[in-house]
Amino acid sequence: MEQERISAAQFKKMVFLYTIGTSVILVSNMLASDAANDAWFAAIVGTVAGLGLVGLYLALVRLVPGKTLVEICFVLLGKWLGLFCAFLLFVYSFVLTTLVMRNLGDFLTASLFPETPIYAIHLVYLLIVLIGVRYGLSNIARTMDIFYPFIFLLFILFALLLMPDVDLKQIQPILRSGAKPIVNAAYSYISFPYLEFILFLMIFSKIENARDGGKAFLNGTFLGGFVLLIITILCITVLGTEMTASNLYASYEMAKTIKIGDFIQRVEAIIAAIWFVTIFCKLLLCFYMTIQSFSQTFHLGEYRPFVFAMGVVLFAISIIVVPDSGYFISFDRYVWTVYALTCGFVIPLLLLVVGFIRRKRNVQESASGGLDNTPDY
Amino acid sequence: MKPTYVFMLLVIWCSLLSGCWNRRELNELAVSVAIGVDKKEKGILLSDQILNAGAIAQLGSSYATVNLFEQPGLSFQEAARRMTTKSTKKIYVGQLQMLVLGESFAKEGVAQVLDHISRDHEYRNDFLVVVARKIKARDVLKILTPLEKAPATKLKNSLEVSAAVWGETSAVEFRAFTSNVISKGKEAVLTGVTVKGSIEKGNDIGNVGKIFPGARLAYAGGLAVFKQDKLIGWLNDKESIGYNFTQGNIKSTVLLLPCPNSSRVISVELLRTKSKMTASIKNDRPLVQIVVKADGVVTDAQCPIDLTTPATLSKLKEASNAQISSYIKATVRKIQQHYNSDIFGFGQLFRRKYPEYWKKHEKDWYEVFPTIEVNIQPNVNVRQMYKTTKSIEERMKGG
Repeated sequence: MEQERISAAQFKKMVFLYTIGTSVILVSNMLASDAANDAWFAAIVGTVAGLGLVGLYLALVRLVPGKTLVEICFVLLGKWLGLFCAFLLFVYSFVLTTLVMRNLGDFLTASLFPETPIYAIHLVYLLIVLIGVRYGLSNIARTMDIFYPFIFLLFILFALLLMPDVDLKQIQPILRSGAKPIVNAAYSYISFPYLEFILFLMIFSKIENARDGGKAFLNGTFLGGFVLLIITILCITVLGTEMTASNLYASYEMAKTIKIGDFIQRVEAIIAAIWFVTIFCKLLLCFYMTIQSFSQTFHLGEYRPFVFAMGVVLFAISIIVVPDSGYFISFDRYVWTVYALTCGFVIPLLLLVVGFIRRKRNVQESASGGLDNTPDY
Repeated sequence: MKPTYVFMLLVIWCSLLSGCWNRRELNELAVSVAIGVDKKEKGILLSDQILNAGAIAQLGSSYATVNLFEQPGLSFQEAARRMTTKSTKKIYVGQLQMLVLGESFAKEGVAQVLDHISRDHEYRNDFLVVVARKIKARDVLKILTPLEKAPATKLKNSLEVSAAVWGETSAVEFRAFTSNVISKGKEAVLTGVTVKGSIEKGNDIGNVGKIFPGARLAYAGGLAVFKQDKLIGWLNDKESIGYNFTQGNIKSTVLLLPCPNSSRVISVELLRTKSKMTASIKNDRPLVQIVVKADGVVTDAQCPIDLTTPATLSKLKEASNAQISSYIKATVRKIQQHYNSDIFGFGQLFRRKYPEYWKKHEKDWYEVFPTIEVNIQPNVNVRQMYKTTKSIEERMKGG
């Protein structure tokens, strides 16, 4: 396999862009439909839980350093059970990638290009992603380097432009809806995006300095969660709870309200540009992780020959995976979270437990097996 | 090998460079600036005011600057699409400025229109919504107006200005209207618009050729009160001002205070008006306190009065307070006893401050609402009299 390295700073940017990609459009609606005006608190709960998950993933890589997620499966579970586990994770990443693609297509056809067939949008977008993935991880990382400052500035600009429309009263009463709605909202929020972070272990081993990488992972998650929190607060205070909960793409709807004087208005397309870019980054990373887990699960070595084929399959499935948007919404709500919880929480936890047991046994027997690498950083 | 490769790339590029899938060039668009909705036996009657770009560009054109297309239909979308059989172009609503609802249509509920507009991607939600009072929405859209080329622009501008500096009207954006219709704890209001003069005279380019046009659009007769999505009645002009005081919608307005011992009036202009409503519960009884703060300036004194003494100014202050208080009281009384629709947003106040109380009474809110005690505290500070001291009347007397 080729040696592609990325720096910890680049990894942080990746995590950040990945966190806000697609979530930035969907999260406020998702949170508000459960937790109403306490959605902001659910966002905080979700982010804290997300940081906890990142801690879990970091514990896993600390146990088996220098390996990707799929390799960890093989190391810890052996040949056949490892293959099974790695395959599950590959399917998860694949489904995730198709859904991210579909999110983008649905958003664009519902709000900007209603008469454009969804496959045309997918095709154009996917072509760029394929090219990007073929260029390899270090080039993907450099792309994020370029986008990161722009996204940050545009986001700050977006928040500032919305300031005149903010009505803080909308957020009251504070925390009176009880624990259940907040837990419900936070529960879906964790699955999207935080449980997906398990896949970052596919590229974590490529970071030059693993200790800095851990910090970068937490930093990126925190920053992304913070941006999503701000977006949620803005949605509730600008649009109000009812409108946020009933608008699928609430933050886009919110961008339409920007009006300063008679000259700064109708800027929502510029805001949509933020989402184009972040979703591109998310899709690029998702696809890269999928193709990597595919080639590593089946020990195929180099991943590049499969990029195009995988793209074709992805393209087809992204069209048929969702028959209608009602299905998608109920799928997100009732199925996806459980699935993501299995792959993003149960499996890594299992791996961690197995890892600890095996290490203990190794230490006791003081044998020099395949698992003698103690964490040395 | 290589030239073929390049050629193929060029072909692919060409297909990508052709632009958007469903692009629509400017000359293919019929830009709709105002939409009217009326009741028609079974469904609705949709009227679209379309800009006539040629007539706008050409000064002194003999064509009307806008045209009106009408189409009955069972649903909004059907009527809008069917309209293409009359308009030569597909109607574009991204520049919509006004939505005019006919009174008889609004009485039966406007939810279907709100649903379509908030669902469709092309509409923005920053246009204003008004009700055509006693006439049909289509008649409002038929009137050509002076000063602005598009009557819709005139409607929008004069509503925004009058809401800010006079206070009898209220510039309600579609977004706020929908939100109030959906939300529990606050109901919607809309301003009424009507035509003065003969409707038929307005439907002609000649209408704007006159100094005093034969038909004029005007906001008159106060605010329409909604309960959920149905119009249930109207507030008169004073009650409308009272309502806008409670909502803090008024930036500035004029109070007319009676002169002592005469039928004439003193005008006090209010500047920097601010209002605040607070909910509280005393002995298990709901109470709302409305505080209105403003700075007053005497702008017109028709009676002999000496404004240089502090005593006079404090009298004026008391009179202003009494008047604001009486406006708001009248509104509250009418709304609580007659319409029983929470247009003030009292429910929202209680929901925010006393969530448990709100939860208990959410279902039977309209049994609680009329019993809410409203405590009004106007606080006007009359400080100035602009450039002159004593009134002309006073100086004529030689006092």
